[in-house]
Amino acid sequence: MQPISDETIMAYVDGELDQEEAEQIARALETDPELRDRARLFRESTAMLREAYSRPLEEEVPERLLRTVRGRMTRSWTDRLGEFLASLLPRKQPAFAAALGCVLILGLGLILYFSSFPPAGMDRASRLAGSNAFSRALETLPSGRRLLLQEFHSELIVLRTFQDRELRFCRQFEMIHDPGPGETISGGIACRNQGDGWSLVFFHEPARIDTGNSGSAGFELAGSGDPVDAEAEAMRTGPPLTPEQEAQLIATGWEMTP
Amino acid sequence: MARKMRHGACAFRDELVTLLPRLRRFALSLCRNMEEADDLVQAACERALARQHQWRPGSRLDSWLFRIIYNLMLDRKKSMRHKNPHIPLDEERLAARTINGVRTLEARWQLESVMAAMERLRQQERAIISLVCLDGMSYREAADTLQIPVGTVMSRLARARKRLHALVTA
Repeated sequence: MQPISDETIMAYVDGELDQEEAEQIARALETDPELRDRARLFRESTAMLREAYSRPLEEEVPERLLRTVRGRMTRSWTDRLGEFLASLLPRKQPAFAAALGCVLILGLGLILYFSSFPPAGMDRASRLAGSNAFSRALETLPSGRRLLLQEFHSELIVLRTFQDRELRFCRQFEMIHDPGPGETISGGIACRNQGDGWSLVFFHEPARIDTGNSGSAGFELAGSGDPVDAEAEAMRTGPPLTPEQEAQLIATGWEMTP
Repeated sequence: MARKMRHGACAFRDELVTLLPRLRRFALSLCRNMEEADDLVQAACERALARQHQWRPGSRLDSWLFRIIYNLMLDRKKSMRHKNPHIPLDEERLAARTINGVRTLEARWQLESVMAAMERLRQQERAIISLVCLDGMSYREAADTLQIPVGTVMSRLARARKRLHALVTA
């Protein structure tokens, strides 16, 4: 009889064998104590690992991680809206409440947008992506010139224009929020899709929350300077556009030069 | 564009929150202690949020995040070349196990041994073990997450588990 490999025993224990193979191994296990020992080793290794690493699943997620994902409020206004609406219904389930909040944004979001009243908790990237003023600025603003975007209380400045691997035109920009003392600077990259306008593909915001410890300092991106610079470098094909090339694109509505 | 972006951003963050316990567990299996793991998860979340528009809805968000965590850990290993043989333990958790004297001793020995033994494995071995044994991924899912062949997953998983078992039960 052919010797059964460790991998096969392991696959049997992990439920990765098809029915026929599994039955073969099960039969072999009945008559071979050495094989049973080998199988037990794999079973025990899983059990001891689950025991040793059970803590993250048993305890609550630390506040700082929730803040990182959700921004300033760990319960966003969408959560509260969702919870309120869910409380109107007979059954209350947290996951449902969150989903409800999300879905309703679609309707309420438009109304809020038209009345120029961005909700405080809505994240900046989403608001940028939905902003006509921002799109218009990307279409027409030459690199190096500042433009005040009222709805964001921020100045926009485009740093450079380049093409990505799919030859889309992309623009790296910075936004200076609340210019003056205490201003903060975000950066990002938006790319122009044929016939579909601009998409925000990368956005980096400095943390506004004092986490009270080093936070993610131990895990800075390797060779980190500006993460937006790094991303632009990774995306870029060919050198950035010259001012003349940019001016020509803006003038012709971003048609590819022949 | 406005509608699509808003809905996407909201659902993305909510899903990320629900994944946090599993992400913390994966990070812990690659790190020395929970604090280090949470630093890693935080950095990974920041990177994921900055790149969320690159993630394709419909593809697995958990695999994408595990990959970000894993790659960040590899970057760190490369840039910080210090070695720390002393492994701080999760003291609070050990203290909680006081059912009876024998059980406390066993639990302490187990926890210390398993985490110490994991420190002796390569990062990739730890990641494979974590995805399959802790997170319950299939070999194929683990292979796709780490972008390595299934055969590699199987051979390294078998070898690493045997080694881990030997180290812990020695």
